[in-house]
Amino acid sequence: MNGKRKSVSEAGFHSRRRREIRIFLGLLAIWCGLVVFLLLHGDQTYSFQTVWKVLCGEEVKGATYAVRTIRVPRVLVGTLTGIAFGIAGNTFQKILRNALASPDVMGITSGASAAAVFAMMVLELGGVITSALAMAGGILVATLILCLSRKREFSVNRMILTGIGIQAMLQAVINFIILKTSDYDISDALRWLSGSLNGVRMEDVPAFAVIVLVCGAVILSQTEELQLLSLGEEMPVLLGMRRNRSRMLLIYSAVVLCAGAASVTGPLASVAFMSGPIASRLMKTGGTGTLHAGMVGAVIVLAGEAIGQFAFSTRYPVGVITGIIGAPYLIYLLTRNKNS
Amino acid sequence: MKRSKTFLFLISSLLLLGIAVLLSLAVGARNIPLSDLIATMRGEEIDALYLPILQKRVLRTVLGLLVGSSLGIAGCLMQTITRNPIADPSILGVNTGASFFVVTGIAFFNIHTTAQYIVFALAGATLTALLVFGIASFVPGAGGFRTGSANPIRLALSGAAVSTACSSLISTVMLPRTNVMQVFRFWQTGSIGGGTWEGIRMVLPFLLAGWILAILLIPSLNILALGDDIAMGLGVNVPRTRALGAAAGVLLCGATTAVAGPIGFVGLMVPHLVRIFCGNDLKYQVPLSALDGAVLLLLADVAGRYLGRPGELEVGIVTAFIGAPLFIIIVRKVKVGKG
Repeated sequence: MNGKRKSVSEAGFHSRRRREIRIFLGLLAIWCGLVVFLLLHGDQTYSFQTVWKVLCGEEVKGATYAVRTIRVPRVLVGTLTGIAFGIAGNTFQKILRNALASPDVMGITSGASAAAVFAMMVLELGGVITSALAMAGGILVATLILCLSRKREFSVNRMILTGIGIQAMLQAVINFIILKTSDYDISDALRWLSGSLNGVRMEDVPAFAVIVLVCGAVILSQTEELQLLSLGEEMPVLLGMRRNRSRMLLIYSAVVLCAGAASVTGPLASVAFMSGPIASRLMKTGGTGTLHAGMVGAVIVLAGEAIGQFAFSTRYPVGVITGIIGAPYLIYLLTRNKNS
Repeated sequence: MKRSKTFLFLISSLLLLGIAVLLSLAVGARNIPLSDLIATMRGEEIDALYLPILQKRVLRTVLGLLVGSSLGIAGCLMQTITRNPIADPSILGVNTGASFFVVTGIAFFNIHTTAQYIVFALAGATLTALLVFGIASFVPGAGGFRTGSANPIRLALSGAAVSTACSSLISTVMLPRTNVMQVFRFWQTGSIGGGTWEGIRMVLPFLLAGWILAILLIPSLNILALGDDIAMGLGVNVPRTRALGAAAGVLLCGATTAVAGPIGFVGLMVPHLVRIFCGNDLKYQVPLSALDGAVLLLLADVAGRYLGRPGELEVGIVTAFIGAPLFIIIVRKVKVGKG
């Protein structure tokens, strides 16, 4: 009797596991398709052979520059930011137990943008320092939110509301700086508001990749804790978990991911916000879906980049496209079956 | 005891309003001494520059009075209807929605008169309010699904999310049109510096309608505050009262956004301040919110002019800076649950 029940639950576990792997492979396939598409197409379309040759190190006139200097960094950074935003958003939503509570709604990406815009427009600093400051800004804002929302005990709700208040204030800062900049600089500044993959360079990739790997690994190592935290305040305590330590570790890893991504490409609206719920709905297994959310994020960013480049007569930066996708997503949230 | 406190508060508010108006007339890139101000008002000519400066500042002050009092009432209405201490046009994204509609109108429908701005802003404010309340009541959030009463968290989150979506839509419209960006930038930050008498004349009927509606609704809203069931038992048409109150709030927000751009947090702060001194009776709360909304907005504008010299710090930025910390204090005080 006992053995049979065990085998039933084991079978369920394995079938869910298999489903998760299938979905992940599916996402990976879509991602590969997008990568190939973005490498082949652009202002100039190259054949698969040419691109392959360039990637293998051969020099092909024209193609070498376009592929190596523009397209490869773009695809790499796009993938990494997608993963970073996806994982960060998913982690926040799971810890705060609310589908709307993602780092971009709560002002952490705004913190990074505000710092970046300030560094560029007021201090007139260049690339690397701006990125570093943006990251510092995001982390600082997250710390501020955590400190301000602390009152004897951690409260998820208070943290969300505090984040929204701070977000409104940062938005005012950003708007103010934009308002005061000269028309000449404004397109540069707007880049930090919407987020874009234009102008990313190969040099950005290694440091960013390390951040994504380290923080992603930390979050993955805390998968069980994240699962417990998403169940409520009491469950982790009942099961003897060190709630606060895991929660801080998870929140800060997610913040670093998110601020790091925002410091390279700008905020990329709605990616962090959409990835987690989409991943959960695809999986339908109730897992934390950290990896899946990362993959969904990467797919959204690359798809947004492809749409931004080719779908309209004007070229739109990817952040604008993801922002537009966010609006119908909200309406979808509104109209979908509320009893689910 | 309570009555005398309210009375004292009323007197001090009126005094403050007088001071705010005087400061608003006197302070700026070029300060006008009080004696000269009075003399010029009487018609004596002391400095050739004073008259044109004063004309500008009178316009600005009048606009500030209208906008501030309307936002105060709007915040008061929204907090009462939603029974939610953090309801505010800016937190709920209503202002951003109105801005988005105006920007879209400028870019695609070639609108340029104040009347057209008002229509677009009102449409935007209404749709955004509906969307935000819809999302807040239907999305299964921390507290599970419940209709009718949207809890503070969900309301704030859906407001913030809609607001984010609207701002990115604004950037979408703006990005390819660098040449007209100058006009658009105004719609991201509220300011009372860009008004005209013509604009005030156009928007005044809407504001008046909002004020009158708010005043007429005071008795029913007072009963509504006791809870839906009791209100219904006492013969209040609950859905109608709520809808009319929301309509008045949206009317006031939309119309102010049409003349001054999105100005946040005034509607959040003022009712809280008023409630400390005169309790929950809307009979006092609504008029005093209007009064103190005007005081707050004018003082914020003066501060912006003083701090940003020789230019100015837009009043929307100043109110955000005063308002956001206050918002956080309110959040710390109200019971939000451990969730």
